[in-house]
Amino acid sequence: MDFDLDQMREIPDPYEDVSLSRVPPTISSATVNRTTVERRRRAAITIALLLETAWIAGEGFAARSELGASFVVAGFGFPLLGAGVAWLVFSRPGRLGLGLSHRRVAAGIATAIVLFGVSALFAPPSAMRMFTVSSTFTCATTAVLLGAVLFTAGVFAYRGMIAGSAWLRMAAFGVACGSLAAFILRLHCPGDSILHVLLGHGAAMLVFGLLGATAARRTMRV
Amino acid sequence: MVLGRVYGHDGSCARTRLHAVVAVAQECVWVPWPSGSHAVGWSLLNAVSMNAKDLSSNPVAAPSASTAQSRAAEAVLNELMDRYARGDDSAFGELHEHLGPRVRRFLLRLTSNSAVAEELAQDAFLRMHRARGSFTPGGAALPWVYTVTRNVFLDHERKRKVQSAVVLNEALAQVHPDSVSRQPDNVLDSRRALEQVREALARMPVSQREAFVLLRFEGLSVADAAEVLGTTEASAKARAFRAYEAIRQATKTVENEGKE
Repeated sequence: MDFDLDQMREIPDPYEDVSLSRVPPTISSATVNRTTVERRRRAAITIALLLETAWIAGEGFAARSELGASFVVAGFGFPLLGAGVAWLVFSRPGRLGLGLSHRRVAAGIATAIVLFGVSALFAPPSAMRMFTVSSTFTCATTAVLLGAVLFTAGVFAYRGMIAGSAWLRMAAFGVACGSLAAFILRLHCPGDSILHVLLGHGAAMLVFGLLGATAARRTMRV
Repeated sequence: MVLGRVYGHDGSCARTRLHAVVAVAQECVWVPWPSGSHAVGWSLLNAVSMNAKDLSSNPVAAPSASTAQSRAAEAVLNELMDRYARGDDSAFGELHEHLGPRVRRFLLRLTSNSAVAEELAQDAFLRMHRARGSFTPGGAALPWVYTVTRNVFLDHERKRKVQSAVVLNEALAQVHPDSVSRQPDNVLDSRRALEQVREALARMPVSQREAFVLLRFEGLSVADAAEVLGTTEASAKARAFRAYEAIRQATKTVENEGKE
């Protein structure tokens, strides 16, 4: 765009000399300060992660003595890395404290999705490779429930606190929750058909990514 | 040593907050007012509040004070906001004193209606108060305030649902009342031009209006405006350009009609 901003100087300001009220609104001191906000966030995230850990401890890991190093790195590591990337683009304050730019957040979301997609390609040779609708549906439901714990905690901790680009940042948060849920589910589920992993384990990423984007304006935005 | 005075838009001098300025090359050093460190903040903040155009590298907003002065004023404002976010309620009064006129004028430029602007300004300050704990340490206060204010405006627009009709408000009557009697022809032209600008602003899409207002009138840099708008710099600039073209077109039409 070859547009010289200097040109705009010629447009006069129609409201420059309008006198304005200086009456401040009546405020209550019962709002949360930064310390409270940070404490609430830490508590919510810790509780959510503890619940997820309790679930995997109760349900147990899949018997996978045959797993190779590449599977451990890609199958488990990539979704976890994706969750980390999505969380970072959601939570980083950016240059002005309004969050990262749209491009970076979008890139973070895309990275998390690609990492998850790549992780689905890695399967141990002896794993159950047959795709079944019922097992995929069960896994999708479980993933959504696991993600819901994280997502609800996030909504509680960040509600009404996101000033800029709330929809995109909440989409990133939703993808982070879904990605972490996919990671946790993969620890448990031996079903390694690519389609099963993509649909069953990845359902939470889709659900909470969309939910975050759509609910952001009403619940999360300042 | 240069003794400086801070002038408001109306030409009044903030004598009570007079401060001394030591100007060395382009750097300004602010000498504390004897009554305490708070007075330094007040003086610097007045520089921010009274001149919205010296806060950035935006060439449209020609700085009337030095860049160093603006940076210092911004730093004080950020510090004040930080205090507020940490839970210091007494900072609200000071913040409102300095941000109130900016927020109201910004909303007035967006809504073209002083009553609505006032109502939305109150809402914006309440939202800021509720969300103050989320203000990032080291963050920039002004972009945050503009973002929250814009959110309030967008919510209002959504509720209204109908495209705003051109609203000619009472503000027009208040423009340069003294000069009207002295230079009636010029003032008539000027008033007509202002009216055209206001009408064109009210008619254009919100996305263009807010980009233009932030860049032309609020003095934000392209990068800061893009962050407030949640878009890229190129997009913010393009929106402002389209708004500029629309205003130019509107004023040209009137000029042509006048000639005929």
